[in-house]
Amino acid sequence: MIASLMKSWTIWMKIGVILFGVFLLSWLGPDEIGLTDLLISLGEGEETGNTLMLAVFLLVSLNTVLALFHYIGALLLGDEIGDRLNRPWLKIIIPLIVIPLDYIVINAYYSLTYSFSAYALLLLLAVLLLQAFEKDRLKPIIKTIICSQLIFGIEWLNEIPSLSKYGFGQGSISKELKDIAVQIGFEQSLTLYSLTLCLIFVINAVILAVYFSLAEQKWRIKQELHYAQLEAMQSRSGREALYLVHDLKTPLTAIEGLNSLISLKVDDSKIKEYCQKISSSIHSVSDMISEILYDDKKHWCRIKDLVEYVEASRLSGTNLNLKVDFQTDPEIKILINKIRMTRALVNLIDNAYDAVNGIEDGKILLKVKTYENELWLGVSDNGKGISSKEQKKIWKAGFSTKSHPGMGLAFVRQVAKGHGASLEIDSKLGHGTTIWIKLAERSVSR
Amino acid sequence: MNILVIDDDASIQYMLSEICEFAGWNVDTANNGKEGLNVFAEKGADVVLVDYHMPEMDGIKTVGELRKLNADVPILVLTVDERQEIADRFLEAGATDFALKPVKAPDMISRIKLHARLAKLTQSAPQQKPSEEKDVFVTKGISKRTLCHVSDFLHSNREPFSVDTISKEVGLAYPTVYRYIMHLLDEGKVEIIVSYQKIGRPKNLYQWIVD
Repeated sequence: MIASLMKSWTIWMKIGVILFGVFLLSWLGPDEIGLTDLLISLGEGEETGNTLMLAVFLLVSLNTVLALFHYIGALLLGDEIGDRLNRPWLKIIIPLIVIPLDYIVINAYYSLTYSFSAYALLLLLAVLLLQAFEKDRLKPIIKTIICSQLIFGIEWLNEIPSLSKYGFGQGSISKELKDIAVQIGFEQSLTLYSLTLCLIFVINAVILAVYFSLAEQKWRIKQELHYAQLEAMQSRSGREALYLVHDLKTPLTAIEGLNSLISLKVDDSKIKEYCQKISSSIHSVSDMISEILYDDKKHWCRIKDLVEYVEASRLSGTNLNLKVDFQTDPEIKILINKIRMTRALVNLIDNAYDAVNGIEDGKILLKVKTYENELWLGVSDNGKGISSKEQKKIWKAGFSTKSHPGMGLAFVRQVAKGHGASLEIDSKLGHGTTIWIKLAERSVSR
Repeated sequence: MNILVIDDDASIQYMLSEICEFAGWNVDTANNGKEGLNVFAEKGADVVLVDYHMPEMDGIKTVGELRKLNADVPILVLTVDERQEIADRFLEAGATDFALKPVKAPDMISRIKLHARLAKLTQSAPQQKPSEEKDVFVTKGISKRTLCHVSDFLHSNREPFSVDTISKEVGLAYPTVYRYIMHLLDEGKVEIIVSYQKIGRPKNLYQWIVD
C-alpha cells in the first residue's frame, strides 16, 4: 500500500507543490516585488499614506501567494492519502502536521521571520473547517480558488496594529509597516482598510464554498437518479425477458408429455428412437431455460463447448473474425451457467469489436488459460486502451463511451459475481485491453 | 381411479388427460382453481394435479382451498418454478408433491401411482392420533404420511444419502424431499454428513441417527 503510494505521481506532484511554496521565497521575496524599495522610501519619510497602503497590499498579496502553495499542497495531499488508505482522519491530520512544519522549515532557511503565530492557527482552523464542511466533494481547482480567497482575507488581520498584541502580524515587515502607520497617524485607516478587505474575502470564500458544495450535491443527486433509472430499466427489461422465457416451458411440457406418451404407445423401434432424440432436445431446451431463469443454475461444461457456443452466439451474421487462443487443455470442465457466461463473454467481445473499429489490423482474441488452479477467460483487443481513470468507472451501470446506456459491463460483473469469479482489466493506452474473468479453483475440474 | 386435472393451458390439459387415460384412469379437467374446487366438491378425486400459474385463483391458493375440503387427497403440483421458496409455500399450503415441467409420461404415471398407494395405506391403517397429525400438518406444511415415507427409507437404509438420491429412491420430487429432510433435521432425527468429492463443491449427505 505504502509502496503504491510512493509510486503515484499525483502524490509527488502535491509534495512538489508544498516544496515549491517553501522555496518560492527565494525567487519571490520582498526585494523582487519592490516592497523593500517602498519600505526604504517610507523609512526616509518621503512618502505618505498612499505608499503605506500600497506596501501593505503588496505584503498581503505576497504572503497569500507564498502561503497558498503549502496550504493547498498539504490539503490535497491529505485528501489523496486519506482517500487511498481509506482513513478519512488523515485528511485533517496531514495538513495539521505539514503546515506548521512548513513554517519551521521557512524560518530555519530564511533570515526574515515568517511567523507562525495566532493568525496561522486561525487560518489553519478555517481551512480545516472548510475541509470538514464540504466533505471533499469539491474539485481541487475549486478548492484552490476558495482557499486563496480565505487566505487573502485572513492575511489582512496581520496588518491591523491593534491585533499585534494577540500574536497577529509578528513578521518583521508587518511589524515595520504597522509601526510606520502608527507614526504617521494612519492606524485607524489601516485597521478599517484591513478589516473591510478581510471581511469581504472571508465572506466571499464562505459563500463560494456553500455554493459549490450545494451545486456539487445537486449534480450528485442528479447522477444517482440517472443510475437508479438505468438500473430500474435494466431490471424491468430483464423481468420482461424472464416472464417470456418462463412461458416457453408450458408448450415444452405439452410436447414432452405427448412425445413420451407416443413412445409408450408404439412398438416401432425407430419411432421410439425418434422420441428419445426429441426428448433429449426438449431437455436441453429446458436446461437452457432454467439457466436463463436462475443465476445459480450451473452445469459442468467443457471449455471447448463453451467456446464453440460463444462463437456460434456471436458470429452468426457477421464477417468479423474472432480468434481463440487455448493456452490450456480445452477438455477441462468448468462449473458454469453456460448461457449467462456466454452472454457475458459476448458482451466483452462486442466491446472489443467497438474498440478496434476503424483500426486497420484490429484483432480480437478469446484467451483461455489456467493459472495455478484457476481458469482464466479473457477477451483482448489491440484497440486504443482504457485509461486508469476510466478503468475504475467502467463496471458501473450507465458508464458508456458510446451512445447507448452502458449496461454491458455491469452485466458482466453480475455474471462474474454469480460464479464467484473475479474480474481484471489489463489495459495499456495505445496497446489494447484484456478483460479477464477468473474462475476460482472450485469451479474447475481437470 | 379418478384424477382431477386443474390447469389453464389447454395443451397441458390434453396431454395430462391422454397420459391418465393411457394408464387406464378417469380424468376430469378444470380450467382454473375455482372451477377445480367445484368439480372436486361435486365428484371428488383420488389424486389432484394442480398447475401453479393460473388466472382467477393460483395454484397455492387452490391447494389451500382443496385441503379445507379434504385433508387426505394427494395433491401433486405441476410447476416450472424450481425455487425452493415456491416449493415451501406449496407444501405449507398442503401440497403433497411436485412434478417439475417438462415431465415424461412414465414418470407422471408412477408418481400418481405412488401417491395413490400412499393415500390408501393411511386410509386402511387405524387412525391413531388424528388431531396431532393435523396439527403438524397445519402448522408446518408437513404431512405425516409423506414424512413416514421419507423417514422409513432413511431408517431402513441407515446410510448417508444426498437429497437427490433420496428423491429418486422414494419417488418424491427434490423440493419435497428437501423440505422433509429439513424438518427431520430440526427434529433431530437425521444428521448432516459432508462429503468431499473429487470435483465441485462438497455435498451434504443425510443419515438417520441411530437411536
